[in-house]
Amino acid sequence: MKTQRFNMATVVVCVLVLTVTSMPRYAFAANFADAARVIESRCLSCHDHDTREAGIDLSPLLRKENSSSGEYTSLWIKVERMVARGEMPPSEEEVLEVSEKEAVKQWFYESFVLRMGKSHIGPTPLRRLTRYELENTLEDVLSITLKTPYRDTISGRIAKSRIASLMPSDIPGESGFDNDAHRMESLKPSLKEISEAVHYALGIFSNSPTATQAVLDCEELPENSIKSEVRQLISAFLLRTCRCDRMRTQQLEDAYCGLYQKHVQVSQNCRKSLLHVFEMILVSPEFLYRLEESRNQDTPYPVTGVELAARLSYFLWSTAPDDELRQHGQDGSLLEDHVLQSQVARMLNSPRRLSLSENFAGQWLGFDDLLSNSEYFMDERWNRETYDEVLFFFDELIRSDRSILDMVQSDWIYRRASALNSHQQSYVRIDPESVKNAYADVLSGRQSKSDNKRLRYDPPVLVKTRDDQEGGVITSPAIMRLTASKSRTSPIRRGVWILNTVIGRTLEPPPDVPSLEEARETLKLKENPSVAEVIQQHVSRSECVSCHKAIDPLGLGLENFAPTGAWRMHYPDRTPIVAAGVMPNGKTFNTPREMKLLLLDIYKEDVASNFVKQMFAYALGRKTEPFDRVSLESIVSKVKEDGYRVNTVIEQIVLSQQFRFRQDH
Amino acid sequence: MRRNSYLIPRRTLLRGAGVSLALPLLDIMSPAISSAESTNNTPVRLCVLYKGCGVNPHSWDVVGGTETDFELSRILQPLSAVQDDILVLGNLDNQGSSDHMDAPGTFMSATKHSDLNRYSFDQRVADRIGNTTPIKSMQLTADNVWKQHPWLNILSYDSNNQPLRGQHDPQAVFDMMFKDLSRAGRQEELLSVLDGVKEVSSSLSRKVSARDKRVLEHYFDSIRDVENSIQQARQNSRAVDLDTKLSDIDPSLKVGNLGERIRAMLDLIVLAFWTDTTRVTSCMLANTNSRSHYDFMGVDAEFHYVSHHVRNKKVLPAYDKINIWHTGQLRYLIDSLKSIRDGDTTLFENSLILWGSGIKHGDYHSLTDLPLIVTGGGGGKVDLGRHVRYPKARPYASLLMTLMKIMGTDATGIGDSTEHLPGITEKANFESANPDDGSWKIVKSDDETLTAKGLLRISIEADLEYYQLRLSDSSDLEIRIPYMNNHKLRFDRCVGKVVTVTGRYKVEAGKKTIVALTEVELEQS
Repeated sequence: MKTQRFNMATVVVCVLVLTVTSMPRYAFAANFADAARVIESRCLSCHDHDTREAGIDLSPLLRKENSSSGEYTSLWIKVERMVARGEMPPSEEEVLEVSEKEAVKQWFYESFVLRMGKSHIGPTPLRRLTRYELENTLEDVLSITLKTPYRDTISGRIAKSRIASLMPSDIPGESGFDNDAHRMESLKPSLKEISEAVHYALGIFSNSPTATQAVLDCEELPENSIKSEVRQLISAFLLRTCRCDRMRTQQLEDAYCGLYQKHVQVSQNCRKSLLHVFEMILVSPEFLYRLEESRNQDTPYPVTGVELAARLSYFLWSTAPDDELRQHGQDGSLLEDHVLQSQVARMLNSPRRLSLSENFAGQWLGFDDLLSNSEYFMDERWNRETYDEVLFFFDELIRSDRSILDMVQSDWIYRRASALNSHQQSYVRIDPESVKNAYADVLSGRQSKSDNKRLRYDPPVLVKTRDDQEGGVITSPAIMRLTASKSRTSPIRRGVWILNTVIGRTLEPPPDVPSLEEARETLKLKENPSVAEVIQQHVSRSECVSCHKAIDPLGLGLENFAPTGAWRMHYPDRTPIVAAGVMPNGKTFNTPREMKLLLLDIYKEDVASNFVKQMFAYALGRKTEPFDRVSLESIVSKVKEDGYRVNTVIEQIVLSQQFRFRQDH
Repeated sequence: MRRNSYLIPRRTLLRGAGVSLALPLLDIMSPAISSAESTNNTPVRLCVLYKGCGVNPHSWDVVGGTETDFELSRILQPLSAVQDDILVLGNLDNQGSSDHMDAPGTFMSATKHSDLNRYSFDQRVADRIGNTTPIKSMQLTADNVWKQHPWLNILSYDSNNQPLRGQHDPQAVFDMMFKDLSRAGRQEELLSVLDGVKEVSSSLSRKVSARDKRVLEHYFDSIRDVENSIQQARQNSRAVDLDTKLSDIDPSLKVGNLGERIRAMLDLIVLAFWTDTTRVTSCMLANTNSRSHYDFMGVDAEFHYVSHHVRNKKVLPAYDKINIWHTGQLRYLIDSLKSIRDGDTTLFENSLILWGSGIKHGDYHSLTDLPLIVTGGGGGKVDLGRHVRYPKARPYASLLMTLMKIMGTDATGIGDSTEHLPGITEKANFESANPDDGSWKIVKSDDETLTAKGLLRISIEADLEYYQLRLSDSSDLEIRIPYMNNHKLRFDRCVGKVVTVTGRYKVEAGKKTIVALTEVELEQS
């Protein structure tokens, strides 16, 4: 179905998305027998129960009952991907006919993308606050600071916040992000850690007149108080902390007032008992989980305004909704497209959007490791600077609504202040006044307070790239460091990183290749082949070649960047670096810049759809599933039409059915 | 030994006055603990130290000697002064997975991740004996934390297969041991907070889905965990005045590099055992894919990188150096535990320590003949000062069975074993696995090649290509082969076994030396 486009920034697309998603893509019914015939005749000679090439046995797929969600879903996903991309059968075999390809794709679509012929969004998992979200949320609802000061002065180490040392970081799930609800669902929350963190936060809150003023409208918690005042305080506290509707808030207020009364009779101290009740509120499931009302339906239905407000603010800000968003949630206006869109626009204009760069990009690109994994620690200035260059780069993509593809190559970058100041290099600043204004809030918390030049830290600066050595994020010092070992670069590691992380190609080593030992053992026991045969079998496999053809040039093209990201022309042993290579499409390059441009030539669409997929997974707190395909494809095509702009991705994700609806089964 | 007196001088107490990190934590803490009344019960404590990335077998294996009279290998050299206090084990095979991510958990349960039965042996022990200490069990991750590969960092799994994340920050470990829940009044307060939460949650029903309800059960399970641990903390055997003293001390644990962090974690383990804060602990010294650099000890390379040495022989010295350093840390732990009095004996006597790697060969990731050391007296139950090489491969899981039994946790089975392992609590007295039947000799020989049968040996002084084949006439046939020849045949795996080899030889000074091997056949036992 074709949709006409309107003004790009304000187009109302929700209705269109829904219309598209409810339409099966294929006009005629897919046929299991057709798909099974293709698998049987074209795949099984290498992948049946006995041959199992690459450890893959496709024979179970010949049973129709295995074409529904369950044990064989991931195998089906793999088969469909290989067939759709033309990666299988291997090049030495005859390619699949169009009709054969379609038979497999259609059956997959019918069985795994749709359910009973209809699109759906899968059961909605229950979200719980991650450590990062909890720290942000406590800061905002209590109006306090918990994070270590971003950078007062340069010291010898990167200090961890108290919360971060009380709670080890969350374990990321299959989505690659630590907000993965399926992972969190499978693990017990550690209430001991959480309650210690909450207790610590409340200690700071109750000793800060500014905080109590902001939250409770009183300079300090009263030692003695009358009942109605206490009710008012508890009510004010609940209003900020609980993401629920008015009726529910009222019920909670009653319950907590009752608990207060019980406690104060023993403690005889209003302040103590209030803090006791506040602690209960902050460790309650109501606060730690993002509970949503269930209609017990197996088809998608819209969430309430309050629930949508929470989804939105945790996606864009990793914290609780602010007053304005909460208001739009409470009165239901957020459910209207134009209100939702204007809220997205407002929120992306707020400095809190930096959470997207810190939490989403930090985990996706892995640069948060620069601050948390001591293996990467060089000195505080270097780590902060390299981290900030990527953080601000990513934020600039959002702030100025730039193209996703700028991540690969751009004519602008953020450059560390020390490089601008110390070497007097001829960088041209981009629009310094506008940057300064736009970042007034962000920077105020990040400006160094020290006058001592050695201890002083200034944030990076938006500049035009100077030469071919710069541009994009994939050649930033941060990424160059993270994809190298401290002492040497590894083209393979960098190539794999780009393919996996930026292009979104999942590379799995074929299961029977890496273990030389096993290969030898099996062969030796069975046929007693010569060692030469074993080794040859190991290295000459076509699977190795097909991936390394793609991996090697990407990494080789970056050899000019030392592990620190510094430009180099020679290896430490003085041999010259040749950063030349051949891309899988046969084109050659001689510099990193040429390599990156070829990368875009070949993989532009992959880079864009991978970006969408990653952010979609982060927004929903789960890995993408086959049934997300309809939404994902629709988002990707809009993003493409829109010149790959990042904020179109964000807006389209927010407008998608997955983001605004829930489903219970 | 680093210290030989039980009491550490008082001058080392630097309470409050800008404690230096140069001083080991134990020195800072000891006056406070020593002056407290020590408890009379002397329980046995379990400590598992995991060092991933395997070893170079050539540098690890103990060859020759007898059970009680043997020469330590290159990697074991740092333990020479405490050779009487260790039990080196050979020929124990694990099942499960040798995958980078999976190896640590496999080491702890003899299962692989997908088996969904990862209940690790240390947790089985903790569930049995951990309920009398303030902390049931303590998990530590001294290596850097690789967030994107979560299972790499995790050793212990609880009875519900839940991974138990290790604490990575020594200061946080210290606080957890002596500050958090010990704070006066905090325990009561938290119990009451949780009571309130339960009350509100149960009185107000909410329209949550059945699925969400199940998830929330985890939340309430976790409340019960906290309640139980507070109950334990209340009944703990740790003296109240000790708590007061300890909570006053601020060791300001600012650790810089990996080496310092490992030391701090070992100190914390000793401290935990000494104060009876916990009786079960596991510690990740290095994971099986560790990209950590050992530059603090002069190796400018990643541990994992040098462990894959097969195609890159020049990394071997660095690989050995790191492994030797790790053994040195075990020595440090042994010395520390021996220097502390526990009841009528030492803390060392009342500890049971398993030291090992989840894989043997760093490059092949083999699960056979794991590198393992048992140390600590196990409350007088472990017969130390021995090297036991099982004549036939035994399941590694049987060792876990026996360790659990020593810890008072008699399990019916773990992994692929339901049996205990002989030779741990008593002398093994195994018959020699390789009796000389008089057939060890050069079987045939022409101008260029020869075939010979004998016992394959290495010597720790020899370089990596140097092997000796012991013949029945007590002479040694030398074998000096190129590294890749060795590797391609997996020749190092035959060390300590009877083999028949065929290869090209040279004559030097009237002696035959094999310089290239074409065929190797292992004697079937």
